Amino acid sequence: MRKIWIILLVLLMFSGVASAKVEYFYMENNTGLNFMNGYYLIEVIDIKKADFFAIVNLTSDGQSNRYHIRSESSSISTYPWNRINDINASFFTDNSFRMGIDYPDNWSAPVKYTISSATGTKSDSSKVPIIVVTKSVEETDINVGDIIEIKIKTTNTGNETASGVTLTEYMPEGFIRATGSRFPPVVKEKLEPGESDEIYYALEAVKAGTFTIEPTKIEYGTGRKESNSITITVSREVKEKSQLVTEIFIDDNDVMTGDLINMVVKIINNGNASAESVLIEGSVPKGLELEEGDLRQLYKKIESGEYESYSVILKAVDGGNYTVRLKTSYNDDTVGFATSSETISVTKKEKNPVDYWYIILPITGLIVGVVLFTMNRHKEYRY
Amino acid sequence: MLNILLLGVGQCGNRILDSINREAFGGGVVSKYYGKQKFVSNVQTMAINTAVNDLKELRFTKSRDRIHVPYLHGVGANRNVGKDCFENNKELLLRAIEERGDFDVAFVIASASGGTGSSFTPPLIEAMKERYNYNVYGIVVLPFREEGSIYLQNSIFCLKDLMAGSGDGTIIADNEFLKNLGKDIQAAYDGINQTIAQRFLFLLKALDSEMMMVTDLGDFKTVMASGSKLATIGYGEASNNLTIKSTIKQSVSHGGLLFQLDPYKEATRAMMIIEGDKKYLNVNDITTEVDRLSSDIGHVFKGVLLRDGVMPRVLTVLSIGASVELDKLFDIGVQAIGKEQVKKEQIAMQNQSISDKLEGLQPLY
Ligand SMILES: Nc1nc2c(ncn2[C@@H]2O[C@H](COP(=O)(O)OP(=O)(O)OP(=O)(O)O)[C@@H](O)[C@H]2O)c(=O)[nH]1
Ligand SMILES: [Mg+2]
Repeated sequence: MRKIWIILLVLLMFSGVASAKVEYFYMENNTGLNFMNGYYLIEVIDIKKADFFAIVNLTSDGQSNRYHIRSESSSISTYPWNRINDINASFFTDNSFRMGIDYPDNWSAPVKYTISSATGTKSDSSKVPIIVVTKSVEETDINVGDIIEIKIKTTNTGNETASGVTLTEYMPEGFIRATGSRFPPVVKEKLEPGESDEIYYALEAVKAGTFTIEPTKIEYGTGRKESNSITITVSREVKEKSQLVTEIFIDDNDVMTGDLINMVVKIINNGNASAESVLIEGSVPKGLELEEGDLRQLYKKIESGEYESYSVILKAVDGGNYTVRLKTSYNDDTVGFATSSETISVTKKEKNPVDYWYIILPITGLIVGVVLFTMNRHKEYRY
Repeated sequence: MLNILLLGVGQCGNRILDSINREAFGGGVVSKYYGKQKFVSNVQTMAINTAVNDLKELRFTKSRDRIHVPYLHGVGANRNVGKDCFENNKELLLRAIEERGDFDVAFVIASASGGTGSSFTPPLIEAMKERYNYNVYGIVVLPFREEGSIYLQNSIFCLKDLMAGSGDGTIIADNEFLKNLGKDIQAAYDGINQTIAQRFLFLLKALDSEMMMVTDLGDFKTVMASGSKLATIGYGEASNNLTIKSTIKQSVSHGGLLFQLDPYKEATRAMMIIEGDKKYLNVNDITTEVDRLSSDIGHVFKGVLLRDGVMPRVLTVLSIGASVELDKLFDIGVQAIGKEQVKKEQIAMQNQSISDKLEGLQPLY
C-alpha cells in the first residue's frame, strides 16, 4: 500500500509539471474553440468513435493544419501550432468526445463556437425559434466580500419552439460561487414561442479590481446567441464608517442580597464617521432590580472619536450569578452587537449553598449519564 | 423490514462501508456519539481486511464489526496469494457471517484492483451463494487508469470472475470516471466514497419502502442479472430550475453516473426510483421520460416514493450490455499483462546472461 502511494505521488508530481493547465471541453462535430479572439482556433472535423480518435484542424497565424488526436497526449512541435503544448481526446460517443488541451497560463478561457456550414440554403425559414438573452445585476459597484446576484433572462421571440437549449457561462475572474448558489446555471431545455425563462446565480467578490462577466452563450439547434457582458467594479476598502464599542463598568461584582450596584455604560465611536440613531437596549436579569435610571438610551449622533455615557443603579435581590447584556445598534450596524458586563455574583444573606442541592444533584447525574453514554459509544467504535 | 448484510472487503471496501455507516448517522464527524443510524431496514455491516491498519483507520464501523483475517501485511496486490488466503480463512469468515443471522440480501463492496478485496470478493460471493439462499451482489470500484499494470490486470480478472460466477450481479463505480470529485487523491476518494454511500442508502431505502408504483427486490434482481451481470447507478437531484424531466435525464447523463456509459445504447435493463413531493412529480412527464428510455433499452422498472415537501431525486440502476468503456478497460488490461510479460522475460534474460558470464568463475582474494 505504502509503495503504491509513493508511485501515485510521483505520477502526480510528473503529470503536475506537464499538464498543470490541462482543461477539458466536450466537443461535438462542427464545433470549435476560439482562443484569444482568433489567435488560435481548434475545429473538430471528424469523430472516429470506433477507432478512438478525432480529427481536428488547428489554425494560428493564418496557417492551418490537421491533427489526429487520441487519448494519449500528442505534443505539438511545429510552429505556429505549438502555441498550445498538448492536446488529447477521450470519452468518445458517436458525435462527441472530451478534448483535453494544455494551453499557456496567460491565455484566457476559450470560446466555444459552431462552425458555420453553408447556411442560407434552407428556404423554410418562415418558422424559426429566435432566442434573445440578456443578463443583468442590480449593483455594479461593490466591495470585496459582497455577493451579487446575476439574472439571465432568455426569451423565445420566434414563432417556433426552441429545443435542446444549452447555456455556457464562464466564472469571471475575481469572483467565486457564492455558497448555496448553483454554478454553472442551467437553462430550461425547451422554450415555446413567446415563453421566457429567468435564472439566477450568485457570486461573491474576492478580489478588488474591474472585472467583466463574459456574455452568456445560448445554443439551440443551429442557433447561437450571446447576451451582453457586465462590468463590475470591486473596491477593496469599505467606505467611511462609524464603529461603536460599548463598555460596561461595575463598581462591585461580589455583593450580598439587598446591596446596590453602580453601573456605568460608555459608548465610544472608534470609526471615521459619525454614528447616528444609536440605540442601547437591555433588560435587567432576574435576581437584580433597577433602582435608578434606564438601561434603554437613545443618542441621535456620536461624532467620530467621541463618546457618550450614562449610569444606572441596580439592586441585588436574589442569590446567583448574573450578567447584564446590552445591545447596541446604529446606522452602520442595524443588526447590532451585544456587550456583557462582568459577572455579578450575589450571595443570599441567610440561606447557604446546601439549599441548592436539589438542583445540583440531578444536573450532576445528567452530566455523568451523558459522559458514560459517550464513553460507551467510543468503546463500541474503538478498534 | 428487510434484513440486509453489507460486507466491505479490503481497504477500499472498508472505507466505502465506513462512509455508508457515516452517512447513515447523518454524515457529521461526531454524529456517532449522539445519533442513531437511520437505516430503514435491519442492516448489519462487516469490514473484512488482511491489513489491521486499514481496519484501525475506520471511524463509523463498530469494532465488533471489523474482522481481521490474519495475514501479515495484506496480500500485496497479488490475487493468487489473496485467493489462497481466502480459502484458508473461508470458514472463519462464513462463521462470522452466520453469527449475524439470516438475511434477505447481501452486498459485498471492494475494489477490483487491489489484493485483498479483489481476490476475496469473487470466491466469497461464490461461497455465500452456495451456502445461503439469499441474493448476493457486488459493488466494485475500478482503479484510476494511471495506477499501473498490476492494478489493471487485477481489475479485469476480478471482473471476469464476477461475470462468470454465480453471484447475482455487480454494481461498478469507476475511480477514473469520478476523479473530478476531488482535487487530490485523498479528496477524490472521500468524494467518491460519499457519493457511493449516499446513492446506496437511497437504493436501500427504496428497496424497503412502500411505493406508489412498485419496484422491489425482485425487480432489482432482474435488472442486476441481465446483460453482462454488471450494472451501474445514476443519480439526479432537482434544484431550482430542474423539472422532474430534466432530473430523470440528469440521472442517466454523464454527470449523474458512476461509470462511463451511454444508457440509451449500452444499457440492457433499468430500474428507476423517483422520490419527492407529489406536487413536483408530473406523472405524464415521468412516463414520457421513462418511455423514451425503455424504447431504447427494453424494460424500465419504475417506483415512486412520495415524500411531503421534498424536491425530486432520481436514482437509476442500469445493467450494462456491450460497453465501449468496458472494452477499453479490458484492452488496456491485456496490454498491461503484455508489458509485465516483457518485463519478466527481460529480467530472466539478464539473469541468464549474468550466470553465463560468471560460469566457471570463482571470486579471488
Ligand atoms: N473509491 C475509492 N477507491 C479506493 C479507496 N482506497 C483505495 N481505493 C482504490 O482501490 C484500489 C486498491 O485496492 P485496496 O482496496 O486498497 O486494496 P486491498 O483490497 O486492501 O488489497 P491489499 O492491500 O493489496 O491487500 C486502487 O485502485 C485504489 O484507487 C477509497 O477509499 N475509495
Ligand atoms: Mg490493503
